[in-house]
Amino acid sequence: MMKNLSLMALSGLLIGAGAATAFAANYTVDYTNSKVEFSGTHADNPFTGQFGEWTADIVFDPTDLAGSKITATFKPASAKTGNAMYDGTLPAADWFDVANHPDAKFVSQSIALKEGNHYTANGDLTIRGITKPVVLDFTLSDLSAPPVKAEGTLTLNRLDFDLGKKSDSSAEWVSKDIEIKLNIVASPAK
Amino acid sequence: MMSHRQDRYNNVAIFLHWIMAISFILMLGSGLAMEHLELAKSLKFNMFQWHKSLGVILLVAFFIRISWRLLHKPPALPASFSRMEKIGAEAGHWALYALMFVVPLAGWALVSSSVYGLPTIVFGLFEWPHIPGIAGNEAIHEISEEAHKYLAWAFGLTILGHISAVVMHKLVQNENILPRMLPHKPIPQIDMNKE
Repeated sequence: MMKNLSLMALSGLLIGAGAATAFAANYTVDYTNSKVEFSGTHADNPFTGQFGEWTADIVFDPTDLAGSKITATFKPASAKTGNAMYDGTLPAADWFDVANHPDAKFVSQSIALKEGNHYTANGDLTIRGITKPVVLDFTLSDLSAPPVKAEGTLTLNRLDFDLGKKSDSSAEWVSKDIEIKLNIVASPAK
Repeated sequence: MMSHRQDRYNNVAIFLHWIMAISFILMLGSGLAMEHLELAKSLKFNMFQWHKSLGVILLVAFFIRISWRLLHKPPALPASFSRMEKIGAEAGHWALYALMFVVPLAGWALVSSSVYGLPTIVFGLFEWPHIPGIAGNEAIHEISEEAHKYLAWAFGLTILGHISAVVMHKLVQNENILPRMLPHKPIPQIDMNKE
């Protein structure tokens, strides 16, 4: 086991050294072709929305996952479902409370390879000023053929962040689980 | 017995009366259904939105109706009515007007003060604003919710009384007062061109 680990570490170092030019660590997001969606159900009907305003800083090197980091900031006020009923409610005090919490944030703490091109990032998600650990699962397209496409999902319990705590704490109307879906297109920074 | 023109409400009043009467029955029925029936969530939610939509339309309609009523003298009550019946009819009608104002008003207040903060989008067409400054106010929400409920019951009972009065006049006094509020052809006008 130890031997394997040290071998892996060694090969990682070697690949890392050799691939330093092949895999650039800093990525620039192509925002027009990327999207951050959220979905859940309301009154048993599914809804989907998007965050219009967000930025992501991505430092990613498969040979140096410890040095890789994903930081994303998004504006809850830019969350739109296209349904005026929902869009009128999302910014309200009991939901995103955008007046007091204009920003939400995800910061990865550790990224691990699951298998093949499938990774998991453990990180901290902050919404309404409440920070909770979450797990982001993502897959990457061929890193040697940019732009790289990343597809990720993260499921959160909205009540962990007091979203709709007063209106619907028993999840009678709005599902407790909200899925965040990421479709990111990014290229190595030049 | 043919009714004369002055025995009837005018056509605008008649139109407002019946269109609002149907609406009030729908509102009372949907209110009871949402409160007491086990409905599928999506149906219940849609019913709430629909109830709110019709509610604000009825609130606006109240102002049109009361303005019309104040600007147009209603037909006199039948001569056969006793003094007490006349007072009762008068009081009953003003109670109905008062209730058709306060019931939707309480509904608007309860929606505006709700923690849900759900906007009122009238039949999906345009947004009706909330009463400002009371969003999430639990005290106002509680009071307006109770008021909406009990006033709606009072409204329903007053409507029943209103209908019963028409039936009673027919049964007891054999006087049919319903045509006062039924659509009618206008009496032929004097041809002004012949002047």
